[in-house]
Amino acid sequence: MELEKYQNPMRENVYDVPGLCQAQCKKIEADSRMILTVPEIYELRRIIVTGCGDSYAAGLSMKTALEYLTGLPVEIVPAMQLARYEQRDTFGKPGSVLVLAVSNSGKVSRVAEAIERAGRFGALTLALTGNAECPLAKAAKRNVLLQIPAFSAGSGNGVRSYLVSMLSLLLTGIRIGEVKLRYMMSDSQMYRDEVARYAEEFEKKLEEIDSEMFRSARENMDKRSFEFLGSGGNYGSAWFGHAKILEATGDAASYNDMESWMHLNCFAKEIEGRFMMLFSNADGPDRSRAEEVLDVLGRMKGSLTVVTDSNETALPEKAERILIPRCRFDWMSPLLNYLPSALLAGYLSCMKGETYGRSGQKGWEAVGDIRLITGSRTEQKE
Amino acid sequence: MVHVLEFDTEKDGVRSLTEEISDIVAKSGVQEGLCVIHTPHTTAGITITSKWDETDFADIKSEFRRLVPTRVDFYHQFDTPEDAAGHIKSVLAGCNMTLILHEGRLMLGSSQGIFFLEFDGPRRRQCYVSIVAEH
Repeated sequence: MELEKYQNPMRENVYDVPGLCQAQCKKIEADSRMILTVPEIYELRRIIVTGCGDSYAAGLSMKTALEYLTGLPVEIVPAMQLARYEQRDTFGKPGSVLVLAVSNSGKVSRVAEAIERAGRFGALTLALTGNAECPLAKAAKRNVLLQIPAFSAGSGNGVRSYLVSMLSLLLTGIRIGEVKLRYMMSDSQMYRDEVARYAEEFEKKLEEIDSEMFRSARENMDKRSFEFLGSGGNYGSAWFGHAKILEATGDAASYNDMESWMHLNCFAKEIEGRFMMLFSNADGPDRSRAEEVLDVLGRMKGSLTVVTDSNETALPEKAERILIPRCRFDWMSPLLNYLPSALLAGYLSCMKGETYGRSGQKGWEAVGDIRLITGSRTEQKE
Repeated sequence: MVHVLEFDTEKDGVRSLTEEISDIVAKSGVQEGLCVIHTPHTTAGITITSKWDETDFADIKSEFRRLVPTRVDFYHQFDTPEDAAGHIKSVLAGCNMTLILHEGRLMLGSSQGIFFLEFDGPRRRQCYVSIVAEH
């Protein structure tokens, strides 16, 4: 089969994700359940999620879920903003703000700096990290150790750690809502069961999705720009999709909220050479706006792919429908709906003959050093 | 033989078990003995109280809440504050009951009824009923 010629680590990571999701759901739940005490949870008035790169996207993807579950306002704040710009007063009474920092390596300087500063300003800081000895774990007041099993196909493309980052945020939200008595403990279990069921359904459908993304990659390998659209939690999926393209192929890639796209990015000059992927579910709050945006996109040139959970929703004639399993809760859908974009990026990287992250290529020598991320000078000023 | 009663409860609901247990007793054919009732839950209880006026239930629920308010500082943190309070209410009410069976009938007073007390809910709940004949 032709597809086999384009085997790539990203694809292999994608195939591991549904099983990883089911296993990690139980593990993280057990490891994180008692990390915040009941009185601490009742003190909370606001949640901030911070991170860099895919970890930041995990926050965007789970923002709606966290708000739904906890009943608290949730902000996704870039690590730089939290580390250098957020004002002391915005943290209010000590213990009233929970700052969740997601970083699998835990070595990202800016995230550690941000969490240390937030803690100094009185926030309750919780690191969700895969490294107990990392700077982030040391800077945070509490830690949940994420233990992502090693994977033979290699990591570094973030496909598996992104899932675990989202899952850890989601499970933290479920627990906070449960303790706050927003729903019964049986409802909490129902949410966790739905995570497992959703992953199981994705596993069954993955080969079909894979074939479609392979075909899509072949049809779009000449494209020069890639744009990803999504609202609500799908804004995070859009972020992740654009990041994988940038990393895997180096092509121009962007992400946008559907509303913002209609206000600005729709005027972009590159149309024929553009690949567009839009995330929207049949019952999502974005539905009516998605229909309007799709109508516009249908009348413009360029390729259009829609990741959706329904065969029933009307799409423009030219649009490719990537049918994913339906999740019972729209806010939980981003947990796995990013997988088609990762498959696409993996195939495009092979087809275009690109090395991941321009590794070793002339012109990119200055950006290949991990110390640019982990060795950045940190500051702790007021 | 153990009979299992299964039912759905409402949040903090009170449910009469009197008729179902009386039926089990009648069908058993036992004339003299004991009826043992047990509920296998830690946030529920069983009790005997007046069956005539349902406002009694509101008083009972209200007093349980007054005695054991849902607080955030319980030592039990694994579940929820309401669950922790439910455990204490369950201890106060008790999960077991033994009734005397005489001439084929439960020896209940004319005002007495057997009731299941939900301290959590809505939940799917069970009660075990066993009839022990006198030899």
